[in-house]
Amino acid sequence: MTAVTPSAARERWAADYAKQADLDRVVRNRSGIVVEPLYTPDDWAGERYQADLGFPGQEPFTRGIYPSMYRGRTWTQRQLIGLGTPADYNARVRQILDLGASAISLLPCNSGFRGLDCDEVPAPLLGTCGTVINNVDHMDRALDGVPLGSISTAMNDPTPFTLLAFVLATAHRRGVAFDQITGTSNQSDYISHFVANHMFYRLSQPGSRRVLVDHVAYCRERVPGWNPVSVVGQHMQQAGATPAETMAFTLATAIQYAEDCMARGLHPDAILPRFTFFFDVSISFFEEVAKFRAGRRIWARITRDRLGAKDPRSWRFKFHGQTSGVDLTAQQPLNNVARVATQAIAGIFSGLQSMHTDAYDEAITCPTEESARIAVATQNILREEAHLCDVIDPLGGSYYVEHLTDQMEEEILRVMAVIEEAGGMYAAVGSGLVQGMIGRSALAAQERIDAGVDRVIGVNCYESEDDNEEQPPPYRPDRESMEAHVAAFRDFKRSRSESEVRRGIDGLRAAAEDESKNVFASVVDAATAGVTHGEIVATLRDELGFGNPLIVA
Amino acid sequence: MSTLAAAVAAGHEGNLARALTVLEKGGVDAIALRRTLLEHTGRAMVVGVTGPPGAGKSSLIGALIGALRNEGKRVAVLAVDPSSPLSGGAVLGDRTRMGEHTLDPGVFIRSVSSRGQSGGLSRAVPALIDALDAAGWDVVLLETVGSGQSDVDIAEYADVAVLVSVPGLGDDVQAIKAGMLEVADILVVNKSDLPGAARTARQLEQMLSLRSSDSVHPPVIRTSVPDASGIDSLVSELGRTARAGGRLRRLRKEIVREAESAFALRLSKDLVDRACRSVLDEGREISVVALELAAR
Amino acid sequence: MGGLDDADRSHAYSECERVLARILTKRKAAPVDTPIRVLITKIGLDGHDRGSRIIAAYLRDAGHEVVYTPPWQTISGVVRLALQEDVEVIGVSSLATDHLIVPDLLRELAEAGLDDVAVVVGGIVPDSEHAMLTDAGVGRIFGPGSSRDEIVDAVNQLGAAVRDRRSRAEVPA
Repeated sequence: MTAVTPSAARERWAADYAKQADLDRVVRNRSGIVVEPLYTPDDWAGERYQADLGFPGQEPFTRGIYPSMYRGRTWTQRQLIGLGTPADYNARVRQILDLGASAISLLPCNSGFRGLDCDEVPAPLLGTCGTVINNVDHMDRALDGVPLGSISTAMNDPTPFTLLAFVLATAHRRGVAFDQITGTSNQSDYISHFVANHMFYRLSQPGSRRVLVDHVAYCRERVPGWNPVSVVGQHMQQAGATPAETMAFTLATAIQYAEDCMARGLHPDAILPRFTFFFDVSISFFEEVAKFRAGRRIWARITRDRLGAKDPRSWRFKFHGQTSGVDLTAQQPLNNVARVATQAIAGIFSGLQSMHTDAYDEAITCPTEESARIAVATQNILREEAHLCDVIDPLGGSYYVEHLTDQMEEEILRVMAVIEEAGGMYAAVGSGLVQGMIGRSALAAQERIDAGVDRVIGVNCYESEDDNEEQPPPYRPDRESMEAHVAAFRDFKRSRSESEVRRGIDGLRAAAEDESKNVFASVVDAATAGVTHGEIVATLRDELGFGNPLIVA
Repeated sequence: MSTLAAAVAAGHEGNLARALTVLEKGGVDAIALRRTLLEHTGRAMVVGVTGPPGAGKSSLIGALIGALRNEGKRVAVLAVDPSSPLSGGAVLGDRTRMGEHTLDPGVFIRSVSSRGQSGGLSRAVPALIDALDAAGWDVVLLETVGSGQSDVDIAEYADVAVLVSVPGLGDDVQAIKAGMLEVADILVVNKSDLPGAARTARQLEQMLSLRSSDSVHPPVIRTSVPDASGIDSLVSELGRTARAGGRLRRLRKEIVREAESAFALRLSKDLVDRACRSVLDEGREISVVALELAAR
Repeated sequence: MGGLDDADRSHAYSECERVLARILTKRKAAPVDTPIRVLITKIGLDGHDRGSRIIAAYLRDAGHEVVYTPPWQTISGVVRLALQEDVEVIGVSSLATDHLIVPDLLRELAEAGLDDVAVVVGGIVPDSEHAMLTDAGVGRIFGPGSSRDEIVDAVNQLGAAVRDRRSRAEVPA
């Protein structure tokens, strides 16, 4: 056997490759980065291992934010659910807990997202996509039998955080101390609502900006186990931002929130350990892994160097990943089980802290019991059977993954510089800059699918006759029990103490008018006094403005 | 068409909307319809609002609608957006930034595409104004993106021409077309809650003072939509500035323009024929010839 | 200027076609001389607008005039908008069950004399609820994965049909 120099070997490979593969076909990932057919030590040689990767639990945290990662404790299985009446939700949540979920989440009805009570919207729309929770009684019923002091509850709860207020009022009722309550305000990221997911958009930008900081300050003091900030990259990516843009927008948003809190006199180390992130995990497998590894490393630098955090806990980029519903198809829906599993593996290899796996029928309807069970089982199989948790950051050191992580980092930093140039995230969304970028990326992605450049099984290739099969009917809440729920709510409004309600609403107004008061504290008071969700939002809209999200067509 | 015109003049909203479609399409029907409608015109105050993208024109118009409604005026809006140079299509979204007036019977908003009139207004805009006027709307607000020719056009069609600027353009205030400064009746510094508003206003005043021969400068008004400041002074200034002769001037120019465009139409047919010959007979590059045509 | 034989001529013609086709690819040949006016909107409670924005861009690129609204329009608001804008087609995007109130929209359109407007729904409509919409008068339902051509062609056809009906009516009601 003759000794071959690496460069000669490489040339020979290149020549052999050219004979077999189409050199004209350029492969790009969703972020626009060209993907080569082969990576070698020429692309990543590991000289900067310590600076760029380091060890798990050590900065820059590229390999994971905890020393033992899934060997110590696996990710939290947190299925996002919401449907029907509080009683319907309660039944589903108990079932999910029995199946092995270690935390719960609550998705309110779309009417709630719009800041409305159930007696203010067309009845057919109630409870079809989330649970109708408008007061403390509803929350108490929804969480019946759920031990508030030990189960972490994520609330899909935009400003002014009425759901958390109802949780606290419920805890108060049950005698559970506030410092026992753990969980996350999943939808606190009002900037992403303004830009990308108008679903959750409730108060004007300036109003939301103030209430978020109030909420952070309140939780820091009264509910220290609660994560008041979740920066939601998911919205950006679902609206069409590329994975790199998504990470850039999300980090720029997090900087904005941290600086807003610091401007209020909160020390970075008092707030940053409770910052969390929420992302889509798409099926662009390696790109997602690189996105999160790069994101962790950038955040570690930002928190330390720019925001001045000294506590290593402030540098950790904690994130919840949700497998991306955008990749799921209505055609051949069972195929989505494979998609979700692939996305979930990408999430696990990315080192996420908590995960929601989509049900396969999510592109069509609210998950059925069966599809919800398979979604949870997917996580169980990956965790228990597939040995994915044996090695920390198992893709670390791959020439490709490390090179791609570097490239993604570069692209993320480039987009962040554009935002910085525009005056930060708050200014960049005010001018429509970010919306324009997302819109262009969304259209480009759709055009790649239309042109067949990006292939989607059952949509633009491998279409099947079976697509014409009738789908099972979707989940719709039981009409009678929903009507009874609304009727009971009307009764509640009639029978509650008017003076208490008046006092609650006056408290909201007073807090909104006085910058030295905490608006969220007044929301908790109002919720406890029996003021409804719709009334709280309406009062604060009146005081702090509503406006509309800026939509760039 | 006279039936339609009569229905428009009688104030039926659906017929007005249909009449606008006919007028936009142009052709014989449009000419006949407009001729009939003209009998009923002459009462509306036409306010042109122009300015660079991002100046907040739509939100300002939303605030103006509110203020004019408080005075009991019935307000119509023509929101003109540029059409795509590639397809000729357009996404028209301005009206959604004008606030919640959709259900107010005293407000009528129509989105208009410039239909390929690069840099200018849709050819049909004067006719659309006439229709709204004939239908009895007290005020017609005409919104356009400021870009060279349309700025000057708007001054021709409107009784009052408002140029909207915004702080943060910095030295770019210089870039506001000199032509528009010449014809603007009112200058607005919108978003004046932002830093730099005073500076922008000052710069505009300076530029106006360079405007030759005018002894009276148009006023510079600072507005802020979220604070609802300056809107009332803008409204009263509109009333003051609306010139009695404005309408007549517009119609006269309109006649000249019609004649010109008819001429241009004939010319361009010749041009097309010539272009074809130059491809077939002279062997010129088609793409070059096509581009030349497109540039006209 | 002679010197051109038939082969040259036919080559020139085909070149001409090719270049024009390239220039006009995005125009997608609207079958009528004036653009179709389409309202793209969302009623009800959902705020996801990625789909409606993409559809708006498709139709713009096909040469149509799209009046675009943000989410959360009320039904009565959409009716008045359709009236003022004199649209021929209304496209309602529904991803989170808002299609359940589309029949109400059709009823109110008819009450306002706009029963000639074509209404299409795009997004997620479960099979079992298609009939509810088509019975109410919805012209087409586009599920996930519908192609640009499918959507543009349908809007072209429906829009042209509406226009045709309207041109035969003397004066609109």
